Amino acid sequence: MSRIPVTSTPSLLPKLHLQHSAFFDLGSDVYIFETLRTTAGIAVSASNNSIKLYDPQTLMPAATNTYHSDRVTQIKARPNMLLSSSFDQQVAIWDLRQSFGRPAMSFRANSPVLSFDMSLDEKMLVGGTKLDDDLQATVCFWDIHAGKLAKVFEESHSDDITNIQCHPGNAKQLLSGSSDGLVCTYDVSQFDEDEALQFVANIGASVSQCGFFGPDAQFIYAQSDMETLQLWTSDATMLADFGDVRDVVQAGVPIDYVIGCRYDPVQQRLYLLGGSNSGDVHVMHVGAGSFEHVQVLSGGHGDIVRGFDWDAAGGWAVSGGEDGRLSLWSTEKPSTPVVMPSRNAEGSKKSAGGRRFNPY
Amino acid sequence: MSGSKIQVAAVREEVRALLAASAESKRKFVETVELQIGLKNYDPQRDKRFSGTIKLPHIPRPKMTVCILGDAHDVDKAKAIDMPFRSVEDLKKMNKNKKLIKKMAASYDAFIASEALIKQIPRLLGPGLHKAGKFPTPVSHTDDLTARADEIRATIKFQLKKVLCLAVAIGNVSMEEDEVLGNIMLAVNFLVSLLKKRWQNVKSLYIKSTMGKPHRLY
Repeated sequence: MSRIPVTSTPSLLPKLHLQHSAFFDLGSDVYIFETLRTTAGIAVSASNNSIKLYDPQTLMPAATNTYHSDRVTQIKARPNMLLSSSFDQQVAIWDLRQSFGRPAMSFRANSPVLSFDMSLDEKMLVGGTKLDDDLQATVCFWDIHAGKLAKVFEESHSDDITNIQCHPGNAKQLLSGSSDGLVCTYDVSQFDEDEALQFVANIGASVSQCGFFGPDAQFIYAQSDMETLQLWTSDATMLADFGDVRDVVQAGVPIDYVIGCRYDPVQQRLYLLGGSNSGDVHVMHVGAGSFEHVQVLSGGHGDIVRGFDWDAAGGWAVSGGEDGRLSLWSTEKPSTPVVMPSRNAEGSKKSAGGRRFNPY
Repeated sequence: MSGSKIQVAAVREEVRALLAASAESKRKFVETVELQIGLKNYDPQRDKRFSGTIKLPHIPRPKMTVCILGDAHDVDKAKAIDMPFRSVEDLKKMNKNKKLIKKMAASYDAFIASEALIKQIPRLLGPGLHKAGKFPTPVSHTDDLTARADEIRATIKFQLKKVLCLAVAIGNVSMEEDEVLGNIMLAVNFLVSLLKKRWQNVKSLYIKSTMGKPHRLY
């Protein structure tokens, strides 16, 4: 019997089917970190420090970018823009209407940038850094128009800042999450760190992912590296503590880790994506104290899934994982079944680059 | 636990040997017992972060000092059990003075705070407790304060950074053999459950007292 009540509710969402699958880099053991839909196709970041753009229909690679000299820690999309942060201490803004060789703008921090976001009014870029040798973890604020660093907050976190999210409805509000176990919210109408700090949620374990959710972004979800999940109000009242969500294994949902939370603003539902080490993705609707298991996406991966971009209302998703595979899902049934090759030499002869794999 | 590569009986022998060795060479302080895990087939550059907390069944650091930032109700409870406390008035008097707040942070190992008060802490103290990694955990009016403090004393953090070795304080040499053993088994099984390849990610396991030699478990 699981501690978290789990029911099966497949009717909650139309079934997602695997449409296409492609390897990021045949013949190498590169991991895909993130997959994201942009206005110029699907952006994919990988462990070899590169970012690729793929055609969203065919998964043919369209452009490759090797600008960052170290790990790409996060990528985010805006209309006609792609943004990336890296261990090379930069945050870059890419104009997707131009060539993918050099960024339109780049900003520097004094340490590796682990997370970032852009404010609602597109005037401010906020970055979170790794804890440096002086035991400093910094929230950096860049003025995009002026092209430079405007302010740093150095007191709010005592360990790596793994998440930054600007409030989707308010250009002056944001949150940060850290390996120190805290999620902090700020209002930077006053640009003084003491005044800006609004609320603090102590998650109790290092925060891996967190973010605003809800119709007015009035809630916060926080996941830890130990696969726990908590839900809070944005003014730091805890709403739910699910503990270790792998507990759902007791209810027949075989997950080994959390891929992430995704909010569907149309149906106003928070989903938790759990993964198995063999590559299955379990989609669960998160309620106030229980989960509804909706569906499992199988066949897209053979290893841990790291990236998942999802348009629930649009019936579309793209995922990427440690198997170096990129998979496209949609509620339309594919006309022919997708054949999954292996990554060894034999498999690579049958499939070249990102071309669609046709069954015999 | 099926698939577990360490047997309780074998671990017990090592714990016994470690405790005996420590007892022989009487130190002026109570030695900590550390669990050292060497990992393999794990790449900290790209594999998911290995970090979190474990609540052990037996308190490894009983001397850990916990101070409560309390509302009137909780200050009374704290006074009754001789728990160090600061009231809202005490915090207001600090006037967001960074030196005072830093001094308070350094004076205690951890903080708990009344639920009603926790939301006010950013306004009262700013980020003063954050740098020290000592932001409080909440307590409700129905909570037993000593029990909450003991929970904190029983919870240890672990985090793998650059090198493939993790060290966690699992106990101290004044604990009973059964208690140290219990803590080790729980910690090992929990930590292994977080690794992608489970025991295939574990290269070695040692226990060691502060001044003693390492004892190999795996």
